[in-house]
Amino acid sequence: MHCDDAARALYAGEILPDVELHLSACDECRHLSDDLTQMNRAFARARTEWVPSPRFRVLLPLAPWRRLAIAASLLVLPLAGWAVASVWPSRPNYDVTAVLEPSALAEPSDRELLGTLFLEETR
Amino acid sequence: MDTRPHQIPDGKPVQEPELIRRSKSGSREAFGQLVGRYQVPVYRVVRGMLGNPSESEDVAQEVFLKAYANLAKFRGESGFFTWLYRIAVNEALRARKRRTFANADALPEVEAPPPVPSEEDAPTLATLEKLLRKLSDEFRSIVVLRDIEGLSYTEIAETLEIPIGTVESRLFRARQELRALWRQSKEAKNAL
Repeated sequence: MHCDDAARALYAGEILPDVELHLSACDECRHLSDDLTQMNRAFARARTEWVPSPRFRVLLPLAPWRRLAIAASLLVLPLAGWAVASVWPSRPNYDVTAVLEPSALAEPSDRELLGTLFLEETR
Repeated sequence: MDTRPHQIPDGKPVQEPELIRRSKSGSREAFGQLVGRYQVPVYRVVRGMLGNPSESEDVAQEVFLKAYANLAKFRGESGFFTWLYRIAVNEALRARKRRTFANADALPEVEAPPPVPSEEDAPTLATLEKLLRKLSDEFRSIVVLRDIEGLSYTEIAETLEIPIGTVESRLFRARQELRALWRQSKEAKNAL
């Protein structure tokens, strides 16, 4: 067997009796065979050790109806809030003192107080 | 195509074609089962192509998102896993290009840690990653699919959409180059 044929068989992963015979007599091809065996060991290790980390999770996008539901809820919440706020019984927010006459706000004078007392006594 | 039964929450074992059919009709659970089955091989393919663990996880995620979005286009003419591997190889190549075009200086390829001395003479995984990175995209993808994933020539031909003859010749040249790189690496180590 010629070295080229042996190399072709070795690279293709074919271990034929002819190749075995050739390897026993050819140092060059034996080196090639050894190198390929070593590389195959490294590939085997990669097969078992190249794994994603335990935290790896494939996250799928939300289904269209779920996206619609989320969008709808985002729209509905502020609308509901606005609706509740608009029907809530509102307190008067005007200032009572503003509608009273200024004299009503002023403290009664001594004369007025005396007048009031006098009126009550005469009743 | 794999026809091993899978368990789905309704309790009945489901074959892969049925999982694909359910996924196509919108079942996230069914697609989740497919993801569970293929996430490690897809990650491995991407890892072999990129050589960077965390980036490989991101790209593997993109692979499944792309598969989910394009599931309707899968007609079952090829195996589901070869279709998925095709997406994985293409996404990994796209990620490499993005990385190169974005800014090679800002985001350099992650340098593999120094090889840990091994009891055997076989290359360490760090060395293997380094050697794979030196191969062209065409050679790297074929070595990853054949030597790491163990796909048959027919499956590789389906995945890469090339004739079987091309698979054989490309694999031969890829292994030749990888072996030459491995010898260089060994000689450099021995020279130290």
